[in-house]
Amino acid sequence: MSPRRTAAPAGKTPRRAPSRRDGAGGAHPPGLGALASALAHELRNPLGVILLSVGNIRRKSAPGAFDAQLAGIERKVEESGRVIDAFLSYARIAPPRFARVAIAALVEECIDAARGRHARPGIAVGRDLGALRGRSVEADAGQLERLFGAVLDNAYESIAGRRGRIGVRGSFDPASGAVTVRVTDSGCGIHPGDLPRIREPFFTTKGRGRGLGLSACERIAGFHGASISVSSAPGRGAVVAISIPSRSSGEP
Amino acid sequence: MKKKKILLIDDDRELCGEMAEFLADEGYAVSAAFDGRAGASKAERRNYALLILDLKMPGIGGLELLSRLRAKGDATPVIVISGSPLVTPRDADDTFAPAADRCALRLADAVIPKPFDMDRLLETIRRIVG
Repeated sequence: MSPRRTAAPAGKTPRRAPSRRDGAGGAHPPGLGALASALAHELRNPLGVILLSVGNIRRKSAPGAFDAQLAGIERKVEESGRVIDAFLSYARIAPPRFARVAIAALVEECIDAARGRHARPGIAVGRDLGALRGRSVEADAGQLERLFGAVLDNAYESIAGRRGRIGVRGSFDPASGAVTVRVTDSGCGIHPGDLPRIREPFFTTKGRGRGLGLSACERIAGFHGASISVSSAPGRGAVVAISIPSRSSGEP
Repeated sequence: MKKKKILLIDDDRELCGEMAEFLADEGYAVSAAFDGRAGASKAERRNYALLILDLKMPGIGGLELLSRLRAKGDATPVIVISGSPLVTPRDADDTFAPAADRCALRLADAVIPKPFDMDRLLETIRRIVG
């Protein structure tokens, strides 16, 4: 996930993902999935021993003697497990299976799913997807769902605890043939010092985030020859624009 | 009452030690084997109420051992424990996991991903063997 947003001066960090043809964009570094699996295994084993040791210490010590310390160890083991899960999930973004995807319907589904996940009555969600009706892109639907889901999750989380609004607008550029989905929110924005780093794996300012959301989105975008641009204004939330070629860049 | 016998098969000796200590206190008779070959040798005696089996071990791996036992008609209940990504909740539909591994996992009576706590282990054991 991307970092918590804070009021920030206007800034924009567009980045054009490499096309699929160049083979660099979202491609896995060689062996990343296997490396992640091996790392997960090697870390989960000692974590398992620690957790069982905590259980034995608790059972054999005087009641309440080390409760706070043992609970602290258990929390840290749990946090470590979540980091491992997040890394595995990131590393396992497989090369996409392309098919024609009706983009308006997919975005609609992602909006509805995000509303279900967050269920915050104080957040109004507007959508204007008329320009995408009848348009399709060549894409992996599951990966696009993950991408839009992560962007929408960030929008909701940036408004945490307050009233706010999220807007999703679609547009089509006849010249380039690209469709663009622009997600705006009235959240806290992104600190200008953080903007250049939000795409880095494991960069986060969220207390509970793993810092892999936007990085994963970048990899998915790279697979699709798509681009993600992020802009943020002080106290005025953020805008994330995802542009996807309607015909993949790897095609003639 | 005769204690139920549990065989732990895991190359992590510390993990076996912690589990054995706990399960002995809970009234089980616990033995351990620290690699797949030794585990297979002990398991073939078929006098255990339950096997607790790690997946990744030197020599014979846990899935291979489990497949061999089932192929020989050994229906001793088995709980698979593993730090492998193969057994995390998301892995039911994990295209990274070899199909043979996913099939073998279904031969187990329960699968517990590491790390796990005592309560989860005990609840699973009691559900399977009492």
